[in-house]
Amino acid sequence: MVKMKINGKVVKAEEGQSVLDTAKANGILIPTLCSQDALKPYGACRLCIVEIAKNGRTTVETSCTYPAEEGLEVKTDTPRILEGRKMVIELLLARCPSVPSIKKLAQEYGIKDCPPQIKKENDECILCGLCVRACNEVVKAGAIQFAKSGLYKIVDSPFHRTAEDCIACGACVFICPTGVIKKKDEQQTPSGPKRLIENWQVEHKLRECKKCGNPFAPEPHLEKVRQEKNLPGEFFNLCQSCRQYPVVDEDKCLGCGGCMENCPLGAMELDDKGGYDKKAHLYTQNCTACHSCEPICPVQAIS
Amino acid sequence: MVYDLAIVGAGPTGLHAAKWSAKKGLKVILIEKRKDISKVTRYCSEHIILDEGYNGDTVKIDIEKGKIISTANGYEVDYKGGLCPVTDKYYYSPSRHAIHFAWPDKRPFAYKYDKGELLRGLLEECLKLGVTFQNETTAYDGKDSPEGVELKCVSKGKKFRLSAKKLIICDGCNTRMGQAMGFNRDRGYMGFALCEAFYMSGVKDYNPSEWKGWWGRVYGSNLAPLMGTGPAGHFEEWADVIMLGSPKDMPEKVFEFFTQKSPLAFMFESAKVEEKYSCTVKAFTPLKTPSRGNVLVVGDSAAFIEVQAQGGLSCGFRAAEAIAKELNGEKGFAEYTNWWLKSFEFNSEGMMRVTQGYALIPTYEDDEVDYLFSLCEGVTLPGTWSQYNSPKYMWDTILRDPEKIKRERPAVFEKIKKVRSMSLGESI
Repeated sequence: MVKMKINGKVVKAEEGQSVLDTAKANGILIPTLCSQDALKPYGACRLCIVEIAKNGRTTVETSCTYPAEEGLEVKTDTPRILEGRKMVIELLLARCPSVPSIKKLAQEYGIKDCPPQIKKENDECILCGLCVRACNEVVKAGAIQFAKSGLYKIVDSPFHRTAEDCIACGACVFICPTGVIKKKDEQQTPSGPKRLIENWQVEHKLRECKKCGNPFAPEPHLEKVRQEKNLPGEFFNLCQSCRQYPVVDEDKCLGCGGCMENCPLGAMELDDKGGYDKKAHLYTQNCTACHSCEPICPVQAIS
Repeated sequence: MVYDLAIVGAGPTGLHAAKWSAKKGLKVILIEKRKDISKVTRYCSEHIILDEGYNGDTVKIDIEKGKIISTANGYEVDYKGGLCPVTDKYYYSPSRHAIHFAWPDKRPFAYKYDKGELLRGLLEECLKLGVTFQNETTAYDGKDSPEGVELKCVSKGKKFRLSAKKLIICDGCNTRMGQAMGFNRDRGYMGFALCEAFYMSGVKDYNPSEWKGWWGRVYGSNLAPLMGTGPAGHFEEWADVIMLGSPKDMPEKVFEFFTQKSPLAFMFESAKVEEKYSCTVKAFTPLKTPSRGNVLVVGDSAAFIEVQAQGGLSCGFRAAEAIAKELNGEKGFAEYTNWWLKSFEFNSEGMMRVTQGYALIPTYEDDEVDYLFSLCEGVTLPGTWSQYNSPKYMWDTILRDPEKIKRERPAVFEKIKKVRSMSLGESI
């Protein structure tokens, strides 16, 4: 634990925690566009700048990349900082004049005149890099990245062709703060339901639930998760709403342990009720309702 | 706390590995899903096999001193529980032609023993040697790094982690840990068998020293129903009736058919089911390199068919040696792998012999099985329990005079030729 000051208030922070997170935890708002809890700090949008005084020297730093330290004095709303932020927002507005979140920020910081616009491709992309980082860090697919530079910098699939490593999971669509990345789930195509992600020129088949028949996720996405987690082949046969926890019929169960030996997540355990009386017991908090235990039972006690 | 060695599974393999590792002064943790290991609830046939050279070892039993002695690996295990000798083995065809395995002097070729008693004794020794016994805990995943192994465990729904320098996986043929840590990736998967065993009293023609199997569709299953010695404490009264099946062919259904509608229904007219046990067996081709990083996979977890208690004990004994050497910076795992490949017959052509030797149904029609078995009539084959020797002796006898089969039943001859020329992939 370290002690520091933010806007004159003494706050405590874990060692290694960023100044941004410390402020957030103490109810002090710092605006940001490129920070996300699931991703590593990146420092791209520059909106989260703050004044940090250390050993009598004051500097302007991005709070998302600056670690909390003993004795820091942080100020989040000095005129210098507000002026800096205003400049950042004006530049963003020049690039993306039609993005609601940028327009809202401009209003908050009192920017009335729209700066001269820069004509370019993808004029809703603010280059925060959330999509690229989510694809690399969380999904670990590495399907998209930044291309070109300067004024012409964009996020794109390799060589502006179909992104071959894309599994159409839609994480980029979900995380994009401006909605520039678009996905489309088409139910009726000649070859079954499909997901299109136009930006990366990707098209993948959606798997249909074996029970209700509704398409629920793209095939390569399910297959990737299945292989990474070492799950059985039929693991993703059912959609989330059709998955029901298996039920053990204790009168039939002979306590052989076959189900628990095959449970990929250790959700099935043996309840020892003394002596010969052992029964399989399902701890639902660990169960994903994959039902791989069902065919494994020699006495059909699991349904 | 970081242990020197974590062992997953307290069967004969795990306990024996824990015992010998603890004797070498290692800090050992033994993880077991059950609370009381001496009450065996998973069915297995529970025999100590006396075949010479079986799985690279010849095991002897000293009944007076209460010891199981391994002559090749050089260890002794105390065992004071019940023992019932098996002296005869019969395979029957649909019209009851028999293939008979026995020694001329009727000396036993296997002993039915009490597995719970063996495990209880071993665990007691382990606890005396200071092994940490973590029961009611399932290890379901793990991560290996150069610094050591981290295990993910769950107990009563609560998840936690354990760390150890080395890990021995011996959680049986369904090997949850082996699967999770990627050891099964290169193994061929042959599907799984379901098994249910019925301990029955009042069975006609039951003889505790005989082991019987019935081959033919007339008995209701592609996999022969078996009958052998009942559990310790009830050797004389209870027969062990074993049904194998699959999800499509549930063992319970096979049992109903076998005891009520098959030609052998008369044996079960006044019989009563006393106890039921079951198990699921996943069959993989054997693991050729049973170690990677800090992890060693031993016993049934790495095997093709059960290594049996004695194979498990040997694996545990050798694994303990290997781990001690690895911790000293020597190449213990390589040594273990050599021993593993050399000793267990399924690592060589033995595996083919098992898959092809028992593939009688549905390859052959019932009358063809009758014919094949009739060729063995009047011959007593050497007493053997081994899964490799039994089909070998049987087929050697059947094929004593191949010209005769070719002359009398050309269709059968062609089938035999086809089965014999099959590769493993095809036979699976």
